Amino acid sequence: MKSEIETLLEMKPYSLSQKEKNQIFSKAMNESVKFHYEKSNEFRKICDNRNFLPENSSSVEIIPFLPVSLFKTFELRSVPESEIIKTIYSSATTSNSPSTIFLDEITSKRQTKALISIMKDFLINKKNFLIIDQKNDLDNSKEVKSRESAIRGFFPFMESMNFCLNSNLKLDVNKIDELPTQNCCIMGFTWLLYTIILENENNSSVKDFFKKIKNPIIIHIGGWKKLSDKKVSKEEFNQKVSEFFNCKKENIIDIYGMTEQLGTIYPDCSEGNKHVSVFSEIFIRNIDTLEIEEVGTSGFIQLVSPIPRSYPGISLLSDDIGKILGVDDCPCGRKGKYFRFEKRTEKADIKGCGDTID
Amino acid sequence: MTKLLISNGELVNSETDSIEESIELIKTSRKWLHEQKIDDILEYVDVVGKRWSDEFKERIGTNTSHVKDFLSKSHLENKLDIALHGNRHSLDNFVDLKDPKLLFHAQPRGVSCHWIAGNVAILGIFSSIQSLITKNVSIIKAPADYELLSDLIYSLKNINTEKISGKDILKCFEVVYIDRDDHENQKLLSNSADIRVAWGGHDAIRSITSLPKDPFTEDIIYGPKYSYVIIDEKAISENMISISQKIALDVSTFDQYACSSPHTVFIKTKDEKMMSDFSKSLSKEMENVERILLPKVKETEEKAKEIISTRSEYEIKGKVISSKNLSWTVIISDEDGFAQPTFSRVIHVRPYNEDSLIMEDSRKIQSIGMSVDEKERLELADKITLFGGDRCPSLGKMSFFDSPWDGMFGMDRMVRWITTYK
Repeated sequence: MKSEIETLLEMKPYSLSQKEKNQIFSKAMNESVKFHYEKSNEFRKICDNRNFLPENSSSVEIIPFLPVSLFKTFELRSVPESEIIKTIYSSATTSNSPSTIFLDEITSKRQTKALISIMKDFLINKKNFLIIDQKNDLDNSKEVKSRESAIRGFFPFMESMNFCLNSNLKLDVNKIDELPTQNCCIMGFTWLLYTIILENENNSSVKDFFKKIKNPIIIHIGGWKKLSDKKVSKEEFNQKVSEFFNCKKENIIDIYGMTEQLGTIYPDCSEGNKHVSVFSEIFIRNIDTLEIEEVGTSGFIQLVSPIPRSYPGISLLSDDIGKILGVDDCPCGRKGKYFRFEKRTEKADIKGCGDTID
Repeated sequence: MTKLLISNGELVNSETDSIEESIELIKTSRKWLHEQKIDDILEYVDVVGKRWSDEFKERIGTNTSHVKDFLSKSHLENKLDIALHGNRHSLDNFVDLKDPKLLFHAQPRGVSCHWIAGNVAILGIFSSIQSLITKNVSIIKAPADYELLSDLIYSLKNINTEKISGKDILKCFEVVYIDRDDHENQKLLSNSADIRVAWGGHDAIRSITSLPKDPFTEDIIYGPKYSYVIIDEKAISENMISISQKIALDVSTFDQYACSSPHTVFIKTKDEKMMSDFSKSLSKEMENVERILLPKVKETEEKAKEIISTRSEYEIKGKVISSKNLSWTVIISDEDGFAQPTFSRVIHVRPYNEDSLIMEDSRKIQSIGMSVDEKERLELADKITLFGGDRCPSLGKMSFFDSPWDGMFGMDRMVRWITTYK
């Protein structure tokens, strides 16, 4: 019998209405929940503590969520260690320790399939990618490897891959004239892209080069944490990017996603909304009651997907705050839910005269 | 933004560039306060306690009766006598403390500056009153949620006794709000202090103590501290519901943000069923306290995230009983030692292991709530407080301010001892 998850992965990402999706998605989640309940001690303990039995999982909403912080404190695996082919680390933005995610071949393939399927909806044909980053042979640190690994996920869309920064993370002006100027997509991590713009916005030769590129698409990933700290808004960022790279604002694609659920990414459409594909689901949880919020109300973003097999990251409560803007009716034409990311929550201040214990 | 909230006996509530004027104004009340007799001041404070417990009952909450009891004349007479080496009248003139050659007089140090922590503003009231009854004038640096503190202090204006006018007493307090980034005014405040009373967590205390001060300034640091509970099998088998109720109250008062709020309950038993039964009982009482006595105020997103993370972590490492929302959490595990506090009504239940409770290099422990066999209570209290731990109160009273507090007779440290020969 064919896996419900594999069946789901055959679907076009935004072709189904929410109602049509719910049934198929629920079946895939059922299969995934049963698998992890059996294979992961940690997931089973959480389910048991919340009196959740996989066979009684009548809806996706009631599947227990794991806060993403668990991936920083536990090595969560649902397959034997021997099946792990790759270990991914998140950037440790809100704490000192990164998340550790173990991937087996099946999960990796599913993630690639989902990512390609989603991105095909945004990038019609292959592009010459100008990567605003350094190659990892220049810096073999975990962070650089992790960044390159995320970038390489877009490989199927690359006509060519051109790294633009040197080992000091500066624009390599000596090589700039060798870069392609036709059919280009400029890609980088949000904070790095912004840094490079600030460093070069008064450099006329660099700006002249980017002017040569006609209608580039800009893809940026990796989140807003570092820019939020600098109080840079999305509007301000888009304005700078648009001016520097000489591109239309609707061609700037901010991709939301989590290291803990690679593949199921959420790119901005031309309306600036992030779309939920058939491969995953988003719920917004009330910050106090943890109940699911209505459309238009902010709360914690919960991300659900049956894709992870090697680790029990199928229902995650993120540190991010966002809200669903609508269902099936985005002017861009994509079906399903669409949402906005608002902010990432930080570490709470200690109030009062109580204290931690060392 | 820096604000004068109460100044020169008036409610001001306006922004200011500098608190310099407040510092000068408060000094002018020193002589008047020094001339008042301690028994008259205590009588005044007694009336204040009664009025506050009537008029601010709703806002002070479960601490109301404690505020009234603590401020009562008989209670403070006793506490002052103990703190001032046996005779509170040493505040009025030279007294005989049974030294063969010397007479003693406790003079106020002068200007007492209080840095009050958010969420536990009522504790700051106690240090302010202690300053008053040791005849020190006060500048109170209020927390961002200063309304209750400011209203309590301002209410003094209309509280009078036969000997003391509220208008005069109010002039012994300046209340200011200073933004945490306003370093200039923070420095001014610190430099003006003869006594610095600081309530707060680690970062707040570090920031206050790093401010410049006069070499003769006395520092009284309340916090950053950690508190816990020890109970034994006898307490559980004889009084499980009652001790659960009391612990639930201790945890829920101040939403666990006070240094006296417990974060771990250690049970002296190897009986897992007893631990489990107690945890269920505690959970029930946490729910009752939240529903009936102390409804939980909505938490920040950041704290909500931490509670969710802690719950999930211990769903894996132990067992978690919690409200459906984030109001309260009881975590049972067999982990050793003190649980890292999450605050916000997250209480851990763990097996007792004496060795892990004695921290030789830390003075962080404050209150150790106890319900153990009377035969061994004092011996146990002696053993576990050798290196840290400042008080071993009974359950249900952990957050009741007392003297001494944090191992200090604060009122003794608010005075200078003057001697002369007999």
